[in-house]
Amino acid sequence: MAEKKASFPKMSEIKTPEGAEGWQEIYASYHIPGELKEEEDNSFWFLDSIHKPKVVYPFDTYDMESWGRSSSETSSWLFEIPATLGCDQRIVNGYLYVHSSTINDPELIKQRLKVFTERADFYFNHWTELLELRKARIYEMNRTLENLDFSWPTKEESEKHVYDITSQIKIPPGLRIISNYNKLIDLIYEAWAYHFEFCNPGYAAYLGFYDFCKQHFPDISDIELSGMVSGVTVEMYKPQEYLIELTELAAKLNLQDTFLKFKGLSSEKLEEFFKVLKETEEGKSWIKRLDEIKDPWFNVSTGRGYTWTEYTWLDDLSIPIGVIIEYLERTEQGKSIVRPLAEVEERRDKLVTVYRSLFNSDQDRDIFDKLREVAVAAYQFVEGHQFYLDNWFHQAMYHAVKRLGKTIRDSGLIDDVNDIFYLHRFELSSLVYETMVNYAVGFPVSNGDRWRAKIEKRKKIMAVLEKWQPPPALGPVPEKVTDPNTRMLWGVTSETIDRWQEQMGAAGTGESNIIKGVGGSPGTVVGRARVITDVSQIGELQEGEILVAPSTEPSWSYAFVKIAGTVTDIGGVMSHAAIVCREYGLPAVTGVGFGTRVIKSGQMIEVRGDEGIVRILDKGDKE
Amino acid sequence: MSKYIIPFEECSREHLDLVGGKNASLGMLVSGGMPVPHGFALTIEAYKDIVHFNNLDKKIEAIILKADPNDSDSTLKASKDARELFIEGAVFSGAMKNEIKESYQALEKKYGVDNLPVAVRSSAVGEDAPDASFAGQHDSYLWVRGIDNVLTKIIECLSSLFTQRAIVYRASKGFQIVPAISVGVQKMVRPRSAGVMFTLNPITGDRSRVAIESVWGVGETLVAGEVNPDGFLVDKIFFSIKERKLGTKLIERVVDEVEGTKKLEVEEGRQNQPSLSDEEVIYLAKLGQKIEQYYKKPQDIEFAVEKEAAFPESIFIVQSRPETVWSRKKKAETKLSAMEYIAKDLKEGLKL
Repeated sequence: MAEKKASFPKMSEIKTPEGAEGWQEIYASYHIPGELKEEEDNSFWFLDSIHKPKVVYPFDTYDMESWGRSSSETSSWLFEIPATLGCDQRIVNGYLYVHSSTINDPELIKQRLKVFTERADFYFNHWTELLELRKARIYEMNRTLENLDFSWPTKEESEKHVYDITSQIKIPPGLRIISNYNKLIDLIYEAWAYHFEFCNPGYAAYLGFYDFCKQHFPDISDIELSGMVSGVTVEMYKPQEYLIELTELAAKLNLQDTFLKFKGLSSEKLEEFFKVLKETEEGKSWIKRLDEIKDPWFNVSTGRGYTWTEYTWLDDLSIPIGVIIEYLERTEQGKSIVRPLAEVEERRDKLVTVYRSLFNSDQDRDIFDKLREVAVAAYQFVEGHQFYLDNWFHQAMYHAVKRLGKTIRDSGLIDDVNDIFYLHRFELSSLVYETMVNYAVGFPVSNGDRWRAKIEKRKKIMAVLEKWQPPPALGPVPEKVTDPNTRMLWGVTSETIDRWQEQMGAAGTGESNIIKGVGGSPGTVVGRARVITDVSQIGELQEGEILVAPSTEPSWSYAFVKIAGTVTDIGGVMSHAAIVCREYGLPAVTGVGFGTRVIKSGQMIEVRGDEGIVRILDKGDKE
Repeated sequence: MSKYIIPFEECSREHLDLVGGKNASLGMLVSGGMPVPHGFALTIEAYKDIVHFNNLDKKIEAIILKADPNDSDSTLKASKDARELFIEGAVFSGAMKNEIKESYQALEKKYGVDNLPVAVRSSAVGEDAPDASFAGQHDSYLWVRGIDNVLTKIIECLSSLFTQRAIVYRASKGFQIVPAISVGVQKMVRPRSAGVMFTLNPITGDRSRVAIESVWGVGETLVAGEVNPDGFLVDKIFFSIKERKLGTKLIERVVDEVEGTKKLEVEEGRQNQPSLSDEEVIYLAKLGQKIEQYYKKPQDIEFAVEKEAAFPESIFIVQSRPETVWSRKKKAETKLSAMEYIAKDLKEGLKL
């Protein structure tokens, strides 16, 4: 452990793949490496494949930098995390790399320690109260985003503008768009601020609990530790629970036959489905319940929630209803669909009881209780925010951006609504202004050709970069990691780094049949692998297969009832895949690095959740 | 129970001075419901009466006190002389002989085996048995069959009070008189596998784990370090096997009617096979936890898996004593509050 680990490639050594020359122009200049070459090469960077597993869209760099800034300021000045300042971000060949900084000056650490202790203590003592306040604000922000208006004034509005004497100040109509665009930008930053306001002290609390237990029980596993704080029913599970409720309601109302007739429901058939349902009173009362639930609870993305290419259950109700139909079928076959929460709770209580009994003194037991209490509170946010921030907020935000895109397209400056995602926020700001000018002048001042050329070029470059395999890390491995996010969320530990290094070697030779990761959820299972790198492939998952993915998100939950286990490239014990697998009692190995690259769909693999090992059992050239 | 004999199921901590640590511990295990092979203890009163009625005490004391503890030849000779004197001169009284015979017959009856094979082991008493470090200073006789052999081996076993090692040890401690000794007669297990179990991880001191090491045959090869054992680490919460390390077990020591035990080569196919099944490992670990809870202290346990019996009747606890290494370490209590603990952790970070 003490020996110095070998370095990863330096940032400046990374070559641009052929055909992607000029990729740097896609992004705002401050994301591009080079200006601080020496510092960059001497720092340790890791690939953020949790948030940005693919080539980052220029517009998304704003979301990316917002969490970077928010996370940084939360660490650096809000809580003054003792030995940690913020995290820096760079884009390399289109992929996001993160570097978290460590303070080494003991005097400064001491000063910060005092501040942190006081402030974090206050937060822990007011955690529930503060969390409820922020949640209320986040819900309000989400509604604001949903209602952000980017349309031009209607004739009625123009008339009102002229004739309504009571209107105190006459705001130019075009300003609405610019102003709402600015509001959108502000809201993104604000959302991430709340995210880290709770994540940073929350992860810190969990780590305190983690290290305290490790000190007393050196052999305690990550799974046992997270098992002691799991089983808290929160927002993240509500969409899933409502699906089950709606399934049970359909059964209670004897609607099974009607539902099963629509097996394999697609969005095209949705209208017909509702038409048939509305023919009966039972059907009507089922729809009534659906309407009560769906907003906000079906604001669940079909993917990670972080990208504009996804959509929500609310956008396409055939997704949740399709799941309900599948559930009804399973129920008829006598299979279970209910989340085995009781089992998780029982497991948690057993762990807590046994470990509590093994402490040597009541004093230690008291600290264990206190640390666990704070960690449990933290865990609620870790789970819950995945719904109201990662999913709902982001999807509301992307819907708003798409409404803006429609206005811009309608003014003739771009060809496709989604083309605006190929522009970063400063460019978009300019484009919004041009759109407004076109409206204000009344005839096109700009025809958008400059933008079109830019966008076309970017699409080509991004396609090339998409095929490039980014190394899991860059630069020299530091002596220690102090940032709680880096440890908890990305799971950067000594073992992770060893794995990354091993896998960089293994990925090259293709010889290794053992892949090491983090034991995310206990148990061992053998099954066929199904590699899912994009949410659109999720329908390919077959009963009993093992899901192999870069990472998973809450909206995939419905898939967990039929899979046998999970392997993810990125994530620690607190990652979504690990949390959900523990809830479902499925073995999971997370943070394996290159699983989606090394494992092929159709191969037989063994997932050993306790040991954090995946074994490839055959060559399985099925696909 | 009588003056001379206490069956294991009646032995307890109160009888420590009569039957010695090993027998008392076995007795406690039996009364705690643990699967221990049955047997009985011959108390130190028996030893005392034997030396007394055969006029051996003064003679032996003279031989031993005369020896120079720093002179190996001298202690060896003293040991030889004392043992010879004892074995030749020690005769059971009729009553004592009868009691032993009755107890042995009761055992035979219990197991439904004539000439039941038993192990005859010494059990040191008082200052003579200060801790585990004393283990092995006295003799054990395995695979003893029939009452005549049992009686002979009891005498031989009693004479192990005068082994050279015991003489040197006592001299080093400054003991002036020769202490007494108890003997245990216990139904013999014919182990397919055997080993040692700690109710904590001896490497890390973690009390949430049970560590098991096992070999083929009897456990002596493991204790003596003659074999690379199999190792298992089991958690005490859900009893899942967390770690498993299989040793290449080239030899095994098996029970032999003539020699007691004998060393054999393990055929190649079995060398790398686990000497315990997962089922046995988990069963043992649960048993270990039960014994620990019974004694309220981490334990160092010897076990054996009987070749002839079916699981779980095949699992036997042969011995249990308090774990000494980690239990003696003064554990530093956490003096920090929860908040200070969190802060300290953030200050120091995680070493990479």
